[in-house]
Amino acid sequence: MKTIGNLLLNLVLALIALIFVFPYIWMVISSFKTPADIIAIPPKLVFTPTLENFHRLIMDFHAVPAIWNSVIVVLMATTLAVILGVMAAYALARFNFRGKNALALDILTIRMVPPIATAIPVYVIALKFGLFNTYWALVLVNAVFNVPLVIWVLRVFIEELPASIEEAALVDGCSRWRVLWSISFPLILPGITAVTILTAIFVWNEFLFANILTGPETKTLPVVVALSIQPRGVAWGVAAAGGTLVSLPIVLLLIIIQRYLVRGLTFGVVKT
Amino acid sequence: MTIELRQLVKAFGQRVVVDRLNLDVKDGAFTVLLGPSGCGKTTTLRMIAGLESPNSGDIILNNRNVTQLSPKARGVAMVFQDYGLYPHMSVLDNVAFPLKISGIPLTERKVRATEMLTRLRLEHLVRHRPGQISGGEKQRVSLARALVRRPSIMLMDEPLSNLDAMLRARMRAEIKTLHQEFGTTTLYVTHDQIEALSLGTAIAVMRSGKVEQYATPMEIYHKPQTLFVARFVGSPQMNLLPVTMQVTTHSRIAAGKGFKLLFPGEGGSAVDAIRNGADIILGVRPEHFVLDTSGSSEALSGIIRLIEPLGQDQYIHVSIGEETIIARTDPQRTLQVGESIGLRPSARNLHLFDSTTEQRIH
Repeated sequence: MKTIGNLLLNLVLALIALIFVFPYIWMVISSFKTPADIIAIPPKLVFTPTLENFHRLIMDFHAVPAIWNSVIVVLMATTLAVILGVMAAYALARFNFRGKNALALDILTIRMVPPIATAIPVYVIALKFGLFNTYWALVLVNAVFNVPLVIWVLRVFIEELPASIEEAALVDGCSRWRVLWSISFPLILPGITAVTILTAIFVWNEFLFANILTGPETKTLPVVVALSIQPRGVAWGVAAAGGTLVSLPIVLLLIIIQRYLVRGLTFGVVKT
Repeated sequence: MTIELRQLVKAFGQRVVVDRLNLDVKDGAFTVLLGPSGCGKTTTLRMIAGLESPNSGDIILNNRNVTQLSPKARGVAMVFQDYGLYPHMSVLDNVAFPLKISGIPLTERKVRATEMLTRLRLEHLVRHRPGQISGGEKQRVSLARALVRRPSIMLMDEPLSNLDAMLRARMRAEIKTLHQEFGTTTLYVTHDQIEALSLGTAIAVMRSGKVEQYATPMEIYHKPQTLFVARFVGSPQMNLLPVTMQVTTHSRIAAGKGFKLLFPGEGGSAVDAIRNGADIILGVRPEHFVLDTSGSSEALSGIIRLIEPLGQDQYIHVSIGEETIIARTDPQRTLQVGESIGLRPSARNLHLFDSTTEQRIH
């Protein structure tokens, strides 16, 4: 009975998964089809794969510099957001100062503001400060929008860290910094890792600000992929290839680290 | 290796936790801060360690004023209630960590940490993580980590309160042995009076941020200076009976609610000085009663309400007038609930307290 039940359950789960994965698989398959094969009705299940779409993406849409731009922005913005976030989270978790909880909520509201509401002010600021069409504009905006996530996730991790562990280290002769580096940060590493990956994914996917703050030299991959959708029509093949390319690192990353990510975000940190 | 606390004050917001506290701990002493929760004993310890900074007052360790120094500059070691072990390090690395921080080379610190672990019979656990060992082992590791630096001062914050009763008794002996061996000046915080009496060379009983009495365990037990100390130390508690003194030229009688007790002939000048009509509190420890069926007026007569046999001892709850007292009796003696009985307090072990000032009179 139990095995039959399990089998049924797995079948249902597989079906649900299929519903969600189907459009994605459709896109990935389409990216290897010729434009004619893509719009063929009935859909062609057997076809000769082609790299033409990727070729066009790279040659006509200049995807390679865009990938490079994306990577730079992701690395810089994530690093900045995580460094600032870890420090702020530590202070919010460990020190008592006036207006602490109000400040924590203020930080969270950054995340709640619809990005589009700030698009125009941010654009003007970037322009006036000479940051338009530089990496810095995107790096700063992305860091600011993701810092709240880092802070709120890590604050919980740090609060769960027993104070006596840090106090023991202080009494054992460590300075505050030494305590952070030798004791606290290693212990919240699962949390830091998880939140770093999430931030990197958010920055990699970010489209709105990338679209308005970049010029020809600093366009990121999502912006380039979006160019395949033109007023006169959609270049389906290129769009599919772009979508595949953009999602590839994230899908690979998540497959590799999914177990770790879930643990990092859900489990208590330390068991003494 | 001494600890001196001068007029130490610590307040959290409006709440004063430590109130102008003074304390001197002698070199090599094992001093216990004993008190109920919230009396400021742990806060005092944490101020000495440098984990809290006092609002005012001075902390002087080994004749050096350390009040403003960071924990690492004070050279004290501390054992925490929840052990404070580093979960991501092996037992060996935990114990070697203080040595690593003070810059001792790898090989030497390994040797010293292993020695200390062997001394505490933990050598089989060196590779384990703290999460893989038992509570008693964790506390021994934490002791090893504190001792490995050969600290001049050792602070212990309720180190046994997370352990079960049997383990606690074993660890108590272990801590006492270690103190005899190393002679480290130790300040030990507990709310457990048994721990305090068995471990301490001196006990400071704390109440509301102040030291109520600071003396040897024997003196704390046999000559509590205040009603609070009398109540707090001893298990079962000392019997405390509010009485009014009726003094005539021939006799002194203590009259309580529904009972009278004639004071025996011998007394002291303090007892003699008690005025007629004075309200005092009469204290007698359970073990200082003798069964007396002669009907003497130097005995309290009452009815047995409850008998608690504990193997080597037997405690009886006796209602005397409107009061109930607990007395220790010989377990060989067969007694019945409901039986009338006379209990004569031993004259030498009477404690008298002023009922308004709560100070000891005799």
